[in-house]
Amino acid sequence: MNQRSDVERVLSLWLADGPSIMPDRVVDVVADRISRERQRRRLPWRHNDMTLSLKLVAAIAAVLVIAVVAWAVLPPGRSPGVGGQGSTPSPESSSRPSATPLTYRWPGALAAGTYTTSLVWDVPFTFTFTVPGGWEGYDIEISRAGDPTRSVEFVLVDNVFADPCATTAMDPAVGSSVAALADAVGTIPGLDMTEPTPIDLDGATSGVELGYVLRVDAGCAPATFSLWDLSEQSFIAGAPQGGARKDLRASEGRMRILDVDGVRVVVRMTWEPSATGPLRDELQAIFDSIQISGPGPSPAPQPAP
Amino acid sequence: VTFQRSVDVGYRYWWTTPPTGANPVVMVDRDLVEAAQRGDQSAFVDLVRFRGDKLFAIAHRILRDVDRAEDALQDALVIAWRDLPGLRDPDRFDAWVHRVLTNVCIAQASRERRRAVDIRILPVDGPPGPDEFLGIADRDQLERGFRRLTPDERAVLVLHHYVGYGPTEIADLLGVPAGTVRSRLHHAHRAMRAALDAEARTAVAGGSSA
Repeated sequence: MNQRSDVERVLSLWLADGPSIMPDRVVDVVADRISRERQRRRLPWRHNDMTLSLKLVAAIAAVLVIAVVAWAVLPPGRSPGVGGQGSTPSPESSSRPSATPLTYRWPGALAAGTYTTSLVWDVPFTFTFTVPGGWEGYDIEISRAGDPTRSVEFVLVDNVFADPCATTAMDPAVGSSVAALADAVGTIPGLDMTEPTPIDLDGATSGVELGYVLRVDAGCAPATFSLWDLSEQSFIAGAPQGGARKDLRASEGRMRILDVDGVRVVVRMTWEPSATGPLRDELQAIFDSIQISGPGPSPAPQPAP
Repeated sequence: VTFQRSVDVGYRYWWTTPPTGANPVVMVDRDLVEAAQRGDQSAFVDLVRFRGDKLFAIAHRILRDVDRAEDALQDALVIAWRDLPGLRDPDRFDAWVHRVLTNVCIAQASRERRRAVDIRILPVDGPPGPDEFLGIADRDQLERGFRRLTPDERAVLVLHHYVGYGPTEIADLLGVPAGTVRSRLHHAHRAMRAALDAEARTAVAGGSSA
């Protein structure tokens, strides 16, 4: 019994034994329950066969929605500025939006506006961000409708992959600090990274921001390139349990590695190199609108009496 | 592979060994899946009938309880019905519904572990298995060892040894790295081997004292 093959054989025999007939009542119960359960319809703009004319109509509609919302929301005499990287936010732009945050529902289309949500995180963080029309919400990311490569994701990272094609984890695993993760990202083969620059979002949330490009000679197609192993705390039970996320077709991005109340949080935006200036500006505006509230600082150790 | 809308084909293909080189995952009655995706409830119920036995068996082997397996299967099938329109490739229905069911079982098993840390092991019900190799004592130890595993480890063992998925397929199914699956398998094998070794030591000690 000490041989592994014996254990596996015993397990196979043991598991083969047992009830294997579904009780008939299960069919009846399921039939009854689904008669009262609505199916989630697939969003039409997620179809790959969307015609060019439909895309054009959707784009025009999105622009109109943005224009109407901007006209309605912005006070007279104020133009919609876009905060670029390194820009100093004004007191107005750094404050919480005055409009009531919209309810974040996923998967699904997001109306233009400001959302405050915990996504599906299993730890008490809230993220506030503002999107124009034409964006969709998912479990831990938002992305442009019809273009999942243009996205912003919110993750907790356990480790990076020493081999991003085979998702082989770095050994020893990356440390828990912001600097350790930034350094580790720089060692991922096939990835060129800019020098991390310190950032301070709101005077309380600090970290670094860096840009990266996945090289064509990385050795694996961008669709199979994975940067890191996600913490299971990024997800609630029942949702996908952590693990690697492929970078789809996007091969460029920027990330902010932040220390929020002692927890290392990563916010990353990605895009395709072909993304035009306005599209990049839209993404950057969302990125700059992000505010994060953590669970609160850990209590300071009390001196012994 | 040809797809035919037939009770026998859909049922039998799943249960019998596929032709050499064929992947059982593609043995899906595509018509039924597509009809169910369009909201055809009777098509979905047919799918439940054809695949229910296998799904129930998987749930039972993870949860080790008929009632809980029934509950988990019902919940998983309702979730599958609700989310079915989002399944992009109907040929992947079986793997997809296995994922839904496994996640529901893991969630349920996790809740059970939190509720009842001490689990009383009942005698194994039913007739002996098909192989006399496993004695009652072995089965009891296997049951005890299995229940000590984490829900994730239980699921990986069942998907590997009962359903027949490889580590890479399980990784895709559960959305975790293949290394994580291998690690869970390794730990689960080690724990089960320890359980069986403990039984062997008990038997030897009992024999020597007699």
